[in-house]
Amino acid sequence: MSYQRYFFYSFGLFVMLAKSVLAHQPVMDMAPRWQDGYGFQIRQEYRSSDELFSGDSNVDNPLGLDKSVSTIWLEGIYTFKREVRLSFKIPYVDKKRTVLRNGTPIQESGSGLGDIIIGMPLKSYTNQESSTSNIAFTPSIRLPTGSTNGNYSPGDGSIDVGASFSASFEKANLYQYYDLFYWKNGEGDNGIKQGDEIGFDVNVGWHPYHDNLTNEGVFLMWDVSARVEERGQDTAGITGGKRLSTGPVIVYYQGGMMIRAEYKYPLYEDVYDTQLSFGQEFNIGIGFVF
Amino acid sequence: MKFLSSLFIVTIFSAGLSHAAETAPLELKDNQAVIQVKGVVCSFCAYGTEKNLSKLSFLDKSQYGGDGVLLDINTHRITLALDNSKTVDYPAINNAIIKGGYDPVVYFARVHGSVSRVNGKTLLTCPKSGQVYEIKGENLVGLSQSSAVYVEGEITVESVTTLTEGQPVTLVVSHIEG
Repeated sequence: MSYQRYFFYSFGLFVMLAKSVLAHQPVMDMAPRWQDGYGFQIRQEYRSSDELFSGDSNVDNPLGLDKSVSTIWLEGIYTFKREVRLSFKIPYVDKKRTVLRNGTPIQESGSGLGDIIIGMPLKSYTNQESSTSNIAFTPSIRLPTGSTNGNYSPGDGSIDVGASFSASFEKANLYQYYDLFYWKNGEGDNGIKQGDEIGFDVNVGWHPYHDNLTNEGVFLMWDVSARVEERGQDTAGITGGKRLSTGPVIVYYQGGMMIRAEYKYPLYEDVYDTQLSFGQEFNIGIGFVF
Repeated sequence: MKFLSSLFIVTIFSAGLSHAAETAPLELKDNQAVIQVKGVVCSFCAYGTEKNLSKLSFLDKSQYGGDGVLLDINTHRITLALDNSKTVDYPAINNAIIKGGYDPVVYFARVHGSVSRVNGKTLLTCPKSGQVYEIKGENLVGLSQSSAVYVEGEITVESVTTLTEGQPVTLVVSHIEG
């Protein structure tokens, strides 16, 4: 296969597979900022791994342990006025993993509706001559709407509460977004207790193309995500650790429609005990605002 | 540190590009209103503003892709194609932009009409719509009664927000032709 063809197929695969890093901002941070505006987004998130870590070291995986998680998110948002929004995110989860049970590798899977997240972004906007910016506080709650049956269930049965502080700054050709968030995870069913999580996301983007007449354009962004999750427990063992991921984001928009594709690669991981890597993440979504 | 340095460079570079665009001269055409708006830097973000504006009944919807509204994210200006047979509801424009999440700074208009003097005020009446503007400015000296002229000028946001029904719109004239 020629280099050009390889690049073409790789890029196509990327566009087809690529998660919104804006974990607390369904659709986008950008919209809808208008009174009585609403929107929804469907996005597919996929991650998989067969890399085993002990602490921050990659170790052999002779028993072929692995996992993959595919999630389709339905996200919606309503803007009461530019300062107050209400959002929801409902996942449909399809998960598979190979884990050790009494020293033997066993395949487990689970699928179904997951746990719904409801948030209320509260924003303060500053419009300048040639820029706009906002700071936001978003309280969130994750409710146990997902099933907890089976060994690898789509829900964990816990009620979790979160909060995020974010800031964004935008000019015609530059976009910057910073989000610091914390999830206080409750105790779930089947002995599951995810550790509390703190995270920080940075999105820096360039706006290389825009057509005023058709309202069509492209954003190219780069994302850096840091996560620290306390030691926890799920049905397969210990959870929690630290990781730093990064990767590109491409956004195409036309009028009130936006397509976003994203890839993230874990640059650094440090897990409690021995765990599978969080894995590479691909995400693609389409959103509409009205 | 390298990442922060790169971010700084990108920010400075972008600031320079935007500044060049902001100083773009304004060329007013007949049957247009141009609004300088703070914060309009992304059309996806301003989709609701455009949607609100496109519902206004006095726009010429054959222009600008079929809604009579053109958003320029580089100059931060919104241009409205006006139907010259209808009166322009400036407070409705203001309201549509504010509800859309942005802040209007000033309105620019080019208006055609005939001059009249009433109670010491200089008025300009548009022939088709019957809309009346009170025109102000030093360059009105010598303007004769009943002359038909094109005037260009600015309408302040303050004058729009305090405008009551039937009151003439205040236009500070910068240029007169005809």
